[in-house]
Amino acid sequence: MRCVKLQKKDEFCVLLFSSVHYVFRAEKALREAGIRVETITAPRELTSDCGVALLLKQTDSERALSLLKENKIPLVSVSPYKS
Amino acid sequence: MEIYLDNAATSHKKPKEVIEKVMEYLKETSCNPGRSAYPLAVKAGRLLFDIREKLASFFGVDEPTRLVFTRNATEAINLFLRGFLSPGSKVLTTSMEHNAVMRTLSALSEERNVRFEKIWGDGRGVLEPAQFREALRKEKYDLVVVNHMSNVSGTLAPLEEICSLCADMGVPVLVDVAQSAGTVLVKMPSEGDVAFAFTGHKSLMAIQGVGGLIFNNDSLGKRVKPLITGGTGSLSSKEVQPDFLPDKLESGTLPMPAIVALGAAIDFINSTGLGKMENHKRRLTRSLIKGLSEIEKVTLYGTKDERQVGVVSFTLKGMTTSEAGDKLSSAGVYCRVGLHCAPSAHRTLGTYPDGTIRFSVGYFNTEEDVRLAVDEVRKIAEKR
Ligand SMILES: Cc1ncc(COP(=O)(O)O)c(C=O)c1O
Repeated sequence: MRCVKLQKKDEFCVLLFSSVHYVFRAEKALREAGIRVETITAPRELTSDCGVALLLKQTDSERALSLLKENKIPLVSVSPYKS
Repeated sequence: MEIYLDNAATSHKKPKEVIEKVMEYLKETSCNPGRSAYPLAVKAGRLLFDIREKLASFFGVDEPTRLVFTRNATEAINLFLRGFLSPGSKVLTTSMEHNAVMRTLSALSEERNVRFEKIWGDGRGVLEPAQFREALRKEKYDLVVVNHMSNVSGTLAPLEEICSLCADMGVPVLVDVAQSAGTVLVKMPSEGDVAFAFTGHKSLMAIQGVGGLIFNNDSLGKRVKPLITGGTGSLSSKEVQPDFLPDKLESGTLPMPAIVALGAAIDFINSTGLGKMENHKRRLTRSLIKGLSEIEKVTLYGTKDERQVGVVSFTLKGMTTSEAGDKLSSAGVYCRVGLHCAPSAHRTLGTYPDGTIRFSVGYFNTEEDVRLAVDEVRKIAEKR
């Protein structure tokens, strides 16, 4: 699975999870649904419980959240991404 | 000549796909999974996640976080027994258990006054569901521990019936699938509270260094306390152990090369077909039983029918097992003799304390191996 780099001009949000198992499970579920995500180091200011997080376009976030719910993948938070 | 018939100890040789995947991992990834977000760490994290998912699904479990990696089956059994049993707990187990179970229960009986009773198999190592039904009716137990496949006689326990009885009675079950996983289909029951302890290096055909514990529901996993605590890559800001699976029970750097080997081994088994591999081992088992039974001085143990897979134990009249083992070894037939870390199982078969000569076949053994090994036994028997 190649990680497609997201375009800088888009608005992003960060999904945080309690454990990397959920990060990778979410990554898989979202990619399978055609949503572009990138695995990033969880931003310090968001005080993540696990070191990695998922980055995705704001415009995809609504669909992503409902997919996570559908797949029963618990999410800690969704925050805007400040690069 | 070199004929390896000690696959119940560890499978030999390993599939070339397994070796190649480990080499590839060591050359190209070789990184700690899930702790960081640089590409190599993410790659390792994804790899670990995929393998966990694949392995859970191999056991019929659709929630991969219910699979906890350990070093081997022994550690998985220790993790469960030590993390689940409280002072005064009552355990029902069987005479066919490996010392991984027996010694841990004995230690817990000293340390925590855990009490345990054994259901005795018959002279062929057979356990009947009725024995469990009766024992569970008479007493209230906190746990049943059962070995799915004897490493001494190859006898399969009636696992489905035992798990279903225990589910009806509300008693959790720990199943030692060290020998059966990769030999026969080992499917997790959906009813009741069941945990499987497995090891990667035997019939699952991976390399030494990885095993695991897998639960059929989250609440059973939550009831197990960790054997060791430490870093998990999660909840790093907190100095207490996370309470979610698998992190709660999986501290420290994982043996990734062995886990990668196990992932590749599951791919190998899935693409070859577990049924095909089982049939091959069953054919070799039948040939061994037939060949050995034609030698006058041989006494065979076990059911000698479809309840016996992969393992054939026997003794030679007028010769100790150690003497036979040395002679076979000199002739290039590699097997294990003695008590196989399961003294009660030998008491059950009536072969304690000298034990047996154990031939155990693997997927890479052939009919020719069996024929040659039987010939060597015949020569040794007839020289006497
Ligand atoms: C039935 C049984 N249980 C447990 C074990 C322990 O396996 P490991 O040494 O991989 O922990 C073995 C193998 O020796 C076994 O045959």
